[in-house]
Formats: sequence, C-alpha cells, structure tokens
Amino acid sequence: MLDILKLSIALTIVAIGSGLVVAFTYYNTGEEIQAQERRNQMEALEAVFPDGVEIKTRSGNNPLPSTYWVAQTDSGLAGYAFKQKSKGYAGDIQVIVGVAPSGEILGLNILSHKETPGLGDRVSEKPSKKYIWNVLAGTSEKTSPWFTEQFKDLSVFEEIKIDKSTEYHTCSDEKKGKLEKTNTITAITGATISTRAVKNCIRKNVPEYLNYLKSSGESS
Amino acid sequence: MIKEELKRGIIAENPILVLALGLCPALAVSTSLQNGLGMGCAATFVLICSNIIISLIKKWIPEKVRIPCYIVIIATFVTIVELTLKAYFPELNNQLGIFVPLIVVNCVILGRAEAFASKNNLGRSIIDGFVMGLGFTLALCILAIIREVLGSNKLWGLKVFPGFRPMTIFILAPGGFFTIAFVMAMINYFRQKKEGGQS
Repeated sequence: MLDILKLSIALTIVAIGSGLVVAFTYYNTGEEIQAQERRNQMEALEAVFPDGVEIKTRSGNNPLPSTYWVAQTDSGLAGYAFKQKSKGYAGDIQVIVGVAPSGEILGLNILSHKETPGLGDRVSEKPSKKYIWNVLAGTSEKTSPWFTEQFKDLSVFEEIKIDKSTEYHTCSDEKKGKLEKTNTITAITGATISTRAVKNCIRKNVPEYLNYLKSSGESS
Repeated sequence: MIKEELKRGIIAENPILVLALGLCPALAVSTSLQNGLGMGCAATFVLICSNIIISLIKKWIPEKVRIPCYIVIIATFVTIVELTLKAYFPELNNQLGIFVPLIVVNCVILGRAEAFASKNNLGRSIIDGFVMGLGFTLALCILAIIREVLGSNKLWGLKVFPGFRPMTIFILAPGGFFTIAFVMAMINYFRQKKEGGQS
C-alpha cells in the first residue's frame, strides 16, 4: 500500500514538473507563434493573387466559409481566395487557393500539412539551390514550389485529372502546355494520396462557392 | 577515453546500424541528406537533454514507474524544441518541423535513457548522449546519401549524374530496408574479418 503511494507520488511530481515547464514555454512562445502564423497566412494570401491587387477580408454566411478574401484591381474584381482543407495521408492538408470568378485558378499555396517526409511532404517542395547555411542565417530566397504551381490556370469547374507518369518540374514546356489544356496535374511519385488530397481541397467546395457568389450577384 | 567513447557511439554500438534502434524514424527521414542531417541534429539535442535530466533524477525515480517518467520527460523536451522552433526559427521550422514530433517515438532516446543514463553519472551520460547522437546522425547521413542519390539522383537537393534515371524504390520504404540491410551487412562483414584476423 505504501509502495503504491510512493510510485504515484513520484509519477505525479514528474508529470507536474513537466507540465509546468511546458506551460511556461507555451506561455512565452504562444504569442510569437500566432504572429508567425498570421504572417505566413498573409504571405500565402499575397502569393495566390497576381501582383498589384487590393485584398479585402470578407465574412460569409452559409454556404460560404466564415472568412474569405476578395481581390480587386482598378478595373474591377480580380478573384476570390478561400482557405480549404482535406484529409491527406497523415492529418489535414490546409491550403489557400485563389480563383478568378470564371473558375480559373490564380494560385495555390499549402498552409500546413503533416505528410510523410520525403514523400507526401513534397506537396510543398521547392526545387531550390538553397543551402542550410542560408537557412540558418535566415536569408530567404524566392523559390516557387512546383507542385502547387501546376494548378495555375486550370479550371475548378472541370474535373482535374492526375497524370502519374511524370513530375511537372521535369516536363518540357510543350508537355506543360498539354497538361494545362487537358486540366491535368502530375502526381508526386509515391504520394498519390497527398496529391489527391490537395486536388480535393480545390474541387470539393470552391465551385459551389463561386456559383453562389455569382448567383447572389456579388460583383466589384 | 573520448576517442573510445566516439568509437563506441559511431561504430561498436551505433544505434541504427548495430543496435537496430529507431528504425522507424530512420526509414522516414533518410530519404534525403537534408532531412537526415536535420533529424539527426534535432534528435541529438533531445538525447543530450533527456540524458542530463534522467541521470540527475535517477535516484528519486522508483524503478517500477521509470519508463512512464522517462517518456514524460522526453515528450516535454520535444515539445519545448517544437515550440521554440515555431516561435523563433520559422525558416528552420519549415525544414525540420515535421520531424520533431517523430522524436518522441524514437526509441534511441528512450533506449539510452534506460540503458545508460539511469545507471551512470552526469558527465558520462552527457558524453553518451553526444556520441550516440553523433552515431545516429552519421548513420542517417550514410543511408540518406545512398537513398537520395539512387532514388532521386540528387544530393542535398541538387542533381548529381546527368542522364541517370533514378530508381524511385529507394525513396520508398522497401528501398529504405534494402539500404539498411546492405549497410549492416557491410559493417558485419568488416567486423568479422577484423575479428577473424585477430584470433
């Protein structure tokens, strides 16, 4: 009886101590992490629209998501952006997608994912010439991820087909043109589930949102 | 003594290639050198920290509940590393963030806590954490170099041989097992040869 008490007390002390340390760290980093996330979201949002647009946050009612964004240029409406998520191979994949009112994808950005390193995590791979020293020094290089890039100019209203025979960043310009014409993306080798999940993010709700926005007569 | 310890961590008791510990994270991250090195460094840091704490409090932990205590302590360190990376090193977090939660289930760390830090003093535990981490990192790098070059014809994200068609299987899990098996076989071959020569 005494023994069991001793064991519980030891375990409790360790757990409380660890809990305090984690709470302290969380308390001190929480704000910074949130600020970081906001910055990331802002950057992602700017990246899905062409340069020189004005982005406004809107709140929507059913069937629209509670928050979405509208981009405007001097000549009128340039497009909408929606935050979408879909189940990937391990956990949710979250994306921001920018679309023109006609359904043409303006840009796509992966916000977060938990895919397998080396396979599914290549959804946000940037074929880059960056070295770890640059990363450690915190210098940033403007590179674009090939996987999300291939969605540009495709239509959300038509089925997006998946070509498993090749990867976009190794394709010739001619092949790229052909893919675009047939509304096709290339899959990541060994990560078909992740590829499909990103596609689902775009196909699942976005067409419905666009139709709703059009029918409700929202313009400018 | 340092030399002997290094030899122990890197060759004689290499966590992956000899003790066969931590194969799951090893398979997952040894697909590219960048990932392997990143995971190795993160795991080494957690290993040293958890060895320090466990060797300091080993007297107060009753034997029957030691494993849950170790797991709680390791998970705490991993969470601290994760939060700190997220808040203050966003660039590094983009590269490593995905591996950090994998460290909790890395049995190299629990294995060293149980087999070494709970029986040895602080100084030796720190050295053990360091050399084991080094052995883990080096093994990951060796596997990663083989797999990245054969599986995607790249090293550190840069192309290697012009005209070489990469064998994707080496990036996938089966290729990981093949690579580990080959490297282990090589090590055993040389060790047996050496022992045979001495006797």
